[in-house]
Amino acid sequence: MIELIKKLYIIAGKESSRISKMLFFEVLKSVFEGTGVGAVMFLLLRVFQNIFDHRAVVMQDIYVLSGVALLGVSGKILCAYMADRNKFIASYNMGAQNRLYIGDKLKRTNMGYFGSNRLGNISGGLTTVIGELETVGINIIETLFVGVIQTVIMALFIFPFDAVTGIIILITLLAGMLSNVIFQKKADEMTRKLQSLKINLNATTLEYVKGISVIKSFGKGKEMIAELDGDILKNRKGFINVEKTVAPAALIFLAIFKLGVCAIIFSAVMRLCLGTIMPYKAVMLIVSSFMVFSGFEMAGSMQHVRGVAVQNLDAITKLRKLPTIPEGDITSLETARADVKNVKFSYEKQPLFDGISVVIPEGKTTAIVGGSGSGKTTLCNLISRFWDVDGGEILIDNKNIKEFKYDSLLSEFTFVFQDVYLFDDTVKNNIKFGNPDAGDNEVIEVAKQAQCHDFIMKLPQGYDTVLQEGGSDLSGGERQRISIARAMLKPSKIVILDEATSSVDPENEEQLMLALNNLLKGKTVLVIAHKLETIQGADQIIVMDRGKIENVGTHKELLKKSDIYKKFISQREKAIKWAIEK
Amino acid sequence: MMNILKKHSGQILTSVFVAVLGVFCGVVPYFAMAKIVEYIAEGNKNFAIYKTPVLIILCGLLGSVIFHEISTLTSHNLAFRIIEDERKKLARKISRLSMGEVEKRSSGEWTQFMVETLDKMERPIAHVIPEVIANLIIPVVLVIIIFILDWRIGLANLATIPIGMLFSFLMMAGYEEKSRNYQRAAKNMNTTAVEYIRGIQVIKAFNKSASSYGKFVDAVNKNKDGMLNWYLSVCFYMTAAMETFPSTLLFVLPVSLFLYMKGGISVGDLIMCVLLSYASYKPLIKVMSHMDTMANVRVVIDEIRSVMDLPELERGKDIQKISSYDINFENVGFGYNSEKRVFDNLSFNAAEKQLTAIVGYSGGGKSTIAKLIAGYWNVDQGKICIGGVNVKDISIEQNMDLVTYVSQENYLFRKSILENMRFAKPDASIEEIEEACKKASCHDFIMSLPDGYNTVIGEAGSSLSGGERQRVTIARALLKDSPIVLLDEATAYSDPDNEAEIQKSIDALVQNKTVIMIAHRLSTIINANKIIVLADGRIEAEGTHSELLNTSKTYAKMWASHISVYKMAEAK
Repeated sequence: MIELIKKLYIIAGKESSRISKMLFFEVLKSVFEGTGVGAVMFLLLRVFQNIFDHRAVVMQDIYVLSGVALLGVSGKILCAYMADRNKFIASYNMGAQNRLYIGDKLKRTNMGYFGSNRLGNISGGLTTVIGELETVGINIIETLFVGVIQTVIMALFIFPFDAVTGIIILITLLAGMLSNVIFQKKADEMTRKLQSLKINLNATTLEYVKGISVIKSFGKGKEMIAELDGDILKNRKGFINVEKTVAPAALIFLAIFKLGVCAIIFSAVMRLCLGTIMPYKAVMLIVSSFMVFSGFEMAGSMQHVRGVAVQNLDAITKLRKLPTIPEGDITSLETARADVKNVKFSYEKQPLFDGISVVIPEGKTTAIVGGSGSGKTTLCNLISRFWDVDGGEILIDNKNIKEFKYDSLLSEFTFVFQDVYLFDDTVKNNIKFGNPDAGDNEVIEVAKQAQCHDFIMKLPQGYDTVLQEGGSDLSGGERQRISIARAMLKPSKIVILDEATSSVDPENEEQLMLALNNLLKGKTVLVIAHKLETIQGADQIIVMDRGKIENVGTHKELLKKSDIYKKFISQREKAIKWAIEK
Repeated sequence: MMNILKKHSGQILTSVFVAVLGVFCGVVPYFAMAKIVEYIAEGNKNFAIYKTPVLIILCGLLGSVIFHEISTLTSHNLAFRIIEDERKKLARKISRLSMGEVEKRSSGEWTQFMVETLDKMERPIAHVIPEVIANLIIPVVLVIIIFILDWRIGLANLATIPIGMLFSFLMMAGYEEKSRNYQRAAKNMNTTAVEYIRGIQVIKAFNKSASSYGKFVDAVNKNKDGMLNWYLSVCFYMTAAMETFPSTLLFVLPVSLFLYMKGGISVGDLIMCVLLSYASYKPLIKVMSHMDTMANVRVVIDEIRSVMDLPELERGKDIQKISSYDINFENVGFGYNSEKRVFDNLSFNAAEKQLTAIVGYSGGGKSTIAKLIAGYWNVDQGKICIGGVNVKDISIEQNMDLVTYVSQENYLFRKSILENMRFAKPDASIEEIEEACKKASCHDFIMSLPDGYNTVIGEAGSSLSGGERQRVTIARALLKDSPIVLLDEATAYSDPDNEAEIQKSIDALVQNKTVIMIAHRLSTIINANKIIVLADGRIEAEGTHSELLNTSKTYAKMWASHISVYKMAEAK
């Protein structure tokens, strides 16, 4: 629990003082709750005085009793209000601050860090997880905290009144905490087990759904369903096993407090019979025994949802540690020449580059060719600092790229990838993303050049059509052409094209190539294309082979000196000429 | 919901019964305690007399804990069974949907739904059913007992209800409008956040961090303000209502002491009433803490129902005898929805064992033709016949048997290559499989994998490149050996070294088959027996390559631009 609160305080940041206030008022509320118990005691006291001391109950007693009860309830309401108010403000402020903190960090994170999995995690974290902490998580932590404090306060009140009972309470608390530690250990272990059960079911289900067309086309529905059924069953059995393991531990935890209650009652009755305590005191102890542990039990019953709070806090803590990259303060560059110097790079511990060097000349087109896994895309990603090199250095404008401000460096690059991300916004705004200052005429002009004008005009609202789900209603080629239009609008010195026209239909390719040539004029261009004929005119071609630079030269030079290049060219020529034959 | 529960009514009843038993055990000690206090008031100091009530308290308290755990275990068992049932039902439902319907959601969304979303039912079922029902029954019973003991104290015990109601009423005033506001802000924040994160690479690449982040900041703050506005305006009433309801002692204590003073109530009854009143609100607090989870389960159930209600692909049940494998489209009309018609009256014939190519500008419906033949959808009008039999009359299994659909996205399972191949033909011998793989030029690279044909695809060290995967799926299609083959831009993307291999394997695949090829690059289909030119959902022309160059303007234009790209590149 202490750990939970520690984590909460780290995440709370500026809101820490409100969290403290919330906890303070919750404790104060417990004190007023105690006043309610006090009222019961007062009533019992008067009744017993009436019986044993023949002191009559008078109207004034009833006024006092009403007063005490009213004080207890109104104090409770007031404290609860103050606690809730602080809680709401703290949790929503905290939620917003964490969203902004993480969102801000995203700006300074390596581009390469964002795999699709990671992006899913981050967006889930910023929306669902923080949302859950705001509404559920903080309540769980609050209840756990208050429950424990309440019991401790009760124990403190009772100690001076009756030491024996005080000792019983303390022993029970210790035993409870001890069993809780064991319980928690078991529960954590089980949580891990559940996690792996879930991952398993996830994988099987994902495979089933992803392969459903294959399953159907090979008539394998029954077998695959049987396999999935097996995992679903395993999942249920695993879950219920976890419950079965946790239940006895929970049982022992709760039973300890019940035994504590019995011990208090037993000792009170015993001492009453021995004549060592007064009847009224015995009654008070017996009645209070039922109330002493209620806070702790409440906290105990929250144990099964405690995991929610732990997961929330852990997920947010992890997101807050999002790695950002160190940057320099150079904001502009004169020349757009890139020098790759003795660069070493490993991809998830798999060494790829072991000291490669090459020059990307300014204002020229450099093409990179190579088989799959040869490192074409990685080389581009290192030059644009999607990843940082492990050894050696990359210079642009004769300065190490790490000396530039990251955003400034990126602003000198224009990228066109094979995978295109479009925003759920109008077509016009998507294109204008390349340059918000562009006028409508300019947008239409680049759209025409990128061969998108015609199909855009066919959309229901033309340029004002709002794209759904990243343009899922457009074909791959159409999305790619919009992304090219967007890139054409962006002023930058260096352009990277990674299979930029791979999904473009042949009927558009010709015009598009012309437009691209226009765009690329005078810029430093890096292009990866498997359609080798499109890059034969490049000023320089880098031939890569399994992480090494095999050769650099023009098309003509390479035809003479590079065996790999020659092989590629002849394969490609065969492929182009291929006609399906029956 | 009711249907789901009805099926498991036995377990539900057990769970609720045990839970009630547990709460009952928890209440009995109050009576025993009242008895003890009564004895004390009588001045009794004989320990023997106290033994029984003390023992009752011990048994009651332990019983309440034990029964509570048993009930929780039973209800968990129940919850997991329900989740299991629903998962199995959904898995079967997915297999009966048309592929088109399946593809409306991403595989990630389906998985999320079947695993995460269904898991959300656990808490409500496992905790709410037993606990809420039991904890609602007990206060009612207790209040009745108090009424029997003394009706005036009974009334006092209910006195907090109208006050609490008043607070609740004040809290709910204007709720609809205010909640609409904050819900809108919350939704807006979620979309903005998702877009900001999903698009972060583009945002960075276009140097838009500042403005996109600004939009995000704005949405986050609006969400916070919306929430706080609402909460803070009702915070007092909400807390007051929550705290007032259970504060029954506020009235019970003075009233019972007053009655005692006036001699209207015995010491035993007085103690009993006070203790029962104290015990009566505790279960209610537990009920309150479960309120929000109840709402959750409705959302999940609704989502399950919406999937179960999706239309299934209606096909014949029997196996039809099919004697030839030519494909006929007769006046076919089809659209993905009523607004987006793909074609209205499409007729053509693809002759048996011939190569029919379909060309046309993108967005013209080429791929839709392949998907209709592959059984992704049923047509809206007209019919598609294979060997003269309407495909609607043959079972989907038979349809699948007849047709192999090779597209860019052919999935391989995380199983060994051998098992993946045996998907196509369960009793295939090793020799047959190797034969197919040799034809699809993948035998060599398979043999170079750590475990050869037993290598599990996708595990560390055995990841295949895109081109290699494509060749394995073609080998699988070869093994299936169906009479009809549909090729959809199968070589569109791959590295130079893979492209030639894939083409070779496709050549092997199409021999002696009825082939329909959705062509991307015109040069690949110049030898086709028939080329169909599709423009805006209509057939503009059909014929061989040389015929079409003269008869179809669209085809001639496409051919010209196809040629010029290569010329342009060479000229450079």
